[in-house]
Amino acid sequence: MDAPAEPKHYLVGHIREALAQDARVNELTIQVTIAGEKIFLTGNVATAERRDAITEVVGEVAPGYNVHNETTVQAYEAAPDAETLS
Amino acid sequence: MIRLAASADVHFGTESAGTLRPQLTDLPERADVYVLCGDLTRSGDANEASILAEELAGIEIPIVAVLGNHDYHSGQEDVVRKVMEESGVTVLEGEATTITTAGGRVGIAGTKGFGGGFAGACATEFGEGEMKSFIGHTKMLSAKLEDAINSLNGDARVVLTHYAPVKGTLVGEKLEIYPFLGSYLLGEAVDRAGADLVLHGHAHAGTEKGVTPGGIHVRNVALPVIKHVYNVYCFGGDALDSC
Repeated sequence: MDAPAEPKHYLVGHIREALAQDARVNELTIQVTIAGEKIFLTGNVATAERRDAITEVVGEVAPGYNVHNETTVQAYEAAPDAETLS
Repeated sequence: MIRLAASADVHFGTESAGTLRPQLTDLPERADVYVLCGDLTRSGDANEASILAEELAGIEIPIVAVLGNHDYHSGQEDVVRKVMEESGVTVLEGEATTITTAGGRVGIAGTKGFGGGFAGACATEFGEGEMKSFIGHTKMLSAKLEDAINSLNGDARVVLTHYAPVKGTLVGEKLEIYPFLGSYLLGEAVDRAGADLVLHGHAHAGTEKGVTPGGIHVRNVALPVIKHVYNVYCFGGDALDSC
């Protein structure tokens, strides 16, 4: 299927708006890059469920594009050594 | 010496149960106080707050928090606050609290804060009502924060915000969005009142360490920045080597 003709500049804005507003996601920090018929998504999200939902939401907002969801799930690594403030 | 554990932007959703608590088991041995600098929830839903409250329940050190912009999204910020407070978390909005630890008394003041930008590239309270409202909100919260800091007693003063008080901890973010990430008005309030440490979140692509123009330590503890479940900061008093 051909990608729609909407200018990519505006589509990036619409995708970011959807990711912020959609209750499945509510993420404001996902970076969106469109290259040809591919949409690349990068950034960090809190859970695996939210990461999966990002793919769904972008697929709905931008049908016809290949969505490459390269976001990562926030890892809760053990705290490092303390910093002493002088 | 006071040991303070800090993080921000846990963005808890109803699917987040069990993701945080396993990493907090040794928290009482590592810190005297745990602070959360906003965006406790994904969308400001009371159920999300309940999940986080359950996750924090039973942690045997005081927990202090401010809310973030995500916690306001559903218009239930008062309920979010109530849920957290009922679980024992102290939530600050233009308010202060003092906690006695083995290393001394630490006074903590906090606000969500808001945006507007930084000196030389900031919005002003001029023009449309919406613009006046935007900056007026930041001014109001900054003034209340300053009053709250001035009310503090203790051996050390800590300030919690969600939005950034300086641009130094925004390095890595796109310049175009700085006005939505923080305001110099918050930093100015802190510098006027005086503090030992300011902690904030919100800027996920920013930098951990900064300083106010007045020389106060600033730390951006957003989880994507610190990349750990929390960071620990030690300050005040003697015996710093034992931290």
